Amino acid sequence: MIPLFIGAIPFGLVIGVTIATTSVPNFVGWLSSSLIFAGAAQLAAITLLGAGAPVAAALVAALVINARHLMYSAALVPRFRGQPGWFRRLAPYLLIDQVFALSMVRDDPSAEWRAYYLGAAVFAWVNWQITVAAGILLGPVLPGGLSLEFTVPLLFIGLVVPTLIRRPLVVGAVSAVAVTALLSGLPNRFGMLVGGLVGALVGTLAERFES
Amino acid sequence: MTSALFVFVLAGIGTYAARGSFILVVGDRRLPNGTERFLANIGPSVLAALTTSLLLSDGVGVYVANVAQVSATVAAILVAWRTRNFLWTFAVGLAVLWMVGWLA
Repeated sequence: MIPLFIGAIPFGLVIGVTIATTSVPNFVGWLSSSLIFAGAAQLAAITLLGAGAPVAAALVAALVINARHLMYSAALVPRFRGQPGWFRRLAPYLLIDQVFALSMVRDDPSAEWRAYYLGAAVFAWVNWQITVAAGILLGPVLPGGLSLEFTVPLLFIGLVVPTLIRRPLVVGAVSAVAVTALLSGLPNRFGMLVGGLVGALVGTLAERFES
Repeated sequence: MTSALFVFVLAGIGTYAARGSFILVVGDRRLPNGTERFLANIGPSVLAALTTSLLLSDGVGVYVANVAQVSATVAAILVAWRTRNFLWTFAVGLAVLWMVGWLA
């Protein structure tokens, strides 16, 4: 689980550096990490605000990027059955890409799953606050070249491929990849939204067809 | 700059609403069979779409732009398929990324 968050470190640093170099005040910029807690949306909002874009444009960009979380929420419904109310209200705040990926692939009993989710999510949250702050402070003097940001897609490959245990799931995932790739030119990860939905639909139909 | 804070607060509320939507509204209720099956398919499909989007999209994603990244991606998919172990996938992918990047 820890390697997945190592990949978030360069991303957090990039956001910190961006905050330090735009007109958004450092402290307010850093607060985006706890208020939004979603790297891509933070980066888009900060960049747009720093470039003097209208407030509405920055807000819409952040919300569109985060629309994918609707699908995470839907996918986790079965895992949240029987969970206590406090956890159900707290957990969505912490539901970032990595936490979704880690918790979605686990099928533990309810209490263990909750502990795992919280462990991963709290670790990610603390890591994120520190990394973005470090980016603001140290960003300009950091060396490049390790490509650590590439660890995130690598780990996602390692998480998603083993879940493809039945043919309909493979068919669905391949469709999702194809549609997302075809639409990758669209802004704000729109292609991912369409790809995710098409893949799930194709997978469901394939399952019905097979049975 | 209060307008930035304003954007962050509203974006934070919107993000929480998106993340909490189904978890909070559906709760413990059972859904029709077809919907349940669809939910089971969303997870892997969205994860596959997210990975693709990270690999291909510009701006916030990582470009699969050079031979090292393409080799690492292919190696990771093969290792993940064979071993079904995500640490191996990660280790081999990163090793290929650095080795090919160093040779190229």
